Amino acid sequence: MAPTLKKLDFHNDSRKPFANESLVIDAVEQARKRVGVSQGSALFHGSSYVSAAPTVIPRALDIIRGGMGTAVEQAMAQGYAQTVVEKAVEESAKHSRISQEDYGLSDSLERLGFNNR
Amino acid sequence: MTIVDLIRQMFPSGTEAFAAKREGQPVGHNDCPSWPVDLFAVMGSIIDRSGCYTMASPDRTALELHAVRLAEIKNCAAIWNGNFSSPPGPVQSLWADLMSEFADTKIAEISKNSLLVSKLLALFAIADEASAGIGWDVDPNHASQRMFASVVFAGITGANPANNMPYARTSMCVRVPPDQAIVLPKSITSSVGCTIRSLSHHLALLPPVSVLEPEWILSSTNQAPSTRSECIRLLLVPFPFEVHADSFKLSSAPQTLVSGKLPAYFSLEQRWLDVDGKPLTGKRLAEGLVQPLIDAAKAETGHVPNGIVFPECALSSALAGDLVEALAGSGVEFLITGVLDTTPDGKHFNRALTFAFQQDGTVAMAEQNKHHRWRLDRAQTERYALDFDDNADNSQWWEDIDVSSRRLPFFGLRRDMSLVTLICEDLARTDPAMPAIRAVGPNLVIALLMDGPQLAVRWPGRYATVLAEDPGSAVLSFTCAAMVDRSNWLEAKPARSIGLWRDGRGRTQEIGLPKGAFGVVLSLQSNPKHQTTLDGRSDGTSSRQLTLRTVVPLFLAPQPDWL
Repeated sequence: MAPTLKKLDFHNDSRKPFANESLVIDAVEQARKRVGVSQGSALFHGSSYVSAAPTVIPRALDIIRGGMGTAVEQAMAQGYAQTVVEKAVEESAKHSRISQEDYGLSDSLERLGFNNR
Repeated sequence: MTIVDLIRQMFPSGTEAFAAKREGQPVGHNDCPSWPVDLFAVMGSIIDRSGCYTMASPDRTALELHAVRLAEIKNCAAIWNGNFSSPPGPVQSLWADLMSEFADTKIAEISKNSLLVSKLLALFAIADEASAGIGWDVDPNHASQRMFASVVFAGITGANPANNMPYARTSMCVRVPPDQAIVLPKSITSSVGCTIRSLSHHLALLPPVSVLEPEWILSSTNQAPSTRSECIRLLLVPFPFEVHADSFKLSSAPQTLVSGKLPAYFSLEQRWLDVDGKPLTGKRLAEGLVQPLIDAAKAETGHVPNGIVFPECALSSALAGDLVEALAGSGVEFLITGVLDTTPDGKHFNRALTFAFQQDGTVAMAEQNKHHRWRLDRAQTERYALDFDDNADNSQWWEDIDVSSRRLPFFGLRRDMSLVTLICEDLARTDPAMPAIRAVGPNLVIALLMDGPQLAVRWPGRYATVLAEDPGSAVLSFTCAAMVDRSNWLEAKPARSIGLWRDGRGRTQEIGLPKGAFGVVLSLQSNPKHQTTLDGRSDGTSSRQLTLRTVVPLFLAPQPDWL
């Protein structure tokens, strides 16, 4: 049957956060600051991941969307955007290592069963 | 290969995950991986390759000391979650030992050194505990105690693109690329046997990406966290109810290749999607069959079903999308169906689609192609009364489908349920899906079939048993009424069993479709389950196990005249 343009937005992504989960997102933002990440900069180092051999096989998502942009194109576009973000952060972010508390190190190692250091 | 060889191989660009901390730093391996999932991946790979997980059981003559060790593992994980910028001192110290004292130890020699094994197991356990909740919803009130889970949540839900993870959805690792190892969230810890799968609660170590690309999609509903037993209802629609013999076609006869022979292939034409000379529409399917079944299920159980399941090849992708649109607002949370798609160049794709309605009005969907072709033989064509090949000398026909793109999406559908779908033959074949399914341990495995009656003694029952035992998933195999009926034409006492349920508690239940019924609603109980790892770590009863409570056939009045 001929595909028709859908009213619903079909996608391959995980869900979006619910309103009551803003506390989780806020906690992450605070943690980002502690790692020394400035606002808008990427948290993780790493090149964007696009499958080694992007699929050229027609996907059900494309059939269902009926003429909207292909999933492959969208994945590549997202990858590009992420690369841009990472490049920006590599240029601007400053190294900021938060020293780890060394309190009770030998005690902790002993409790883990390593007392022969 | 030595320990340091493997570490360097798995971290081709160093162990530091956080972009800001890499600024101006050389690529290195002396610092402990700053992302616990990466630490889990490398420790798991070393432990798995060396086989030293067999030494993880507690010393029964020194249980008090072991209890102290387990408490300290949880303590280290909690400290790491509280200050996630650097691993805790003990973790860094153990890593430093690996990179100095034990760097040149050969993987094959690890099990001979009990101190080294103990350190590897400690690092693995701390990484697992620090990763509790990764890939799932995070209780907003405990976000700061579950920082790594919160970061992953923010990353995979796209709350802030700057938190994107480089390999999500395929792996939760940051520095270990998927061609080295894949780590996904975990549902069930295997309670039988002695493997690395029994050594972790929160993360699953999968083989590197090769022919199979696993995915993790979070699509939970906004339910309050609950520790109670909950009920999940599945509506099974065994469509089509009639398949004519001429839906099976010979697509290519046997051919000679040098001194060998290329087998014959058959293809499927979905004649059941033509009604009164017109293509069946999603609206008609919804209004004439699915919505009345939803209403009947609600009348019987008091609730709209949580999910709807169609069998293998029941619909096309386009029709499935139309049906999902037609069901928007019905209260159903998800729909799973087998589809058959044919491209303009004549290629056929046998797929499973999982749709999950989102609260923002969108629909998340996962798709996977069937991994293995069905091989029809003479005994099956005679049982199903199929006669599409005039060549009486030919006795085998392969399903003419493309099997070149192999994905395996795991869906975190509810707080208490992860799910994976298999298509027919894929349930019976060990590779490539089974190692991934055993590692993740989804609560529910649904096998979509185009098969005869689902009897405990037939092949789906045998293979379902394997997954029900290890990792302990509930397995539902489900076929269409049409093929069950065709298979039963030779039976004096036909069994109209469209589904077979097998769960981790050992219950096997054939699911019958009485004459005149158009669907069945299953009520599943999601029970809290306590799990323990090989090294004695408790999961605090955070897992769930699905069991079958009731099976109710659904009748429609009036019956749809087009079926």
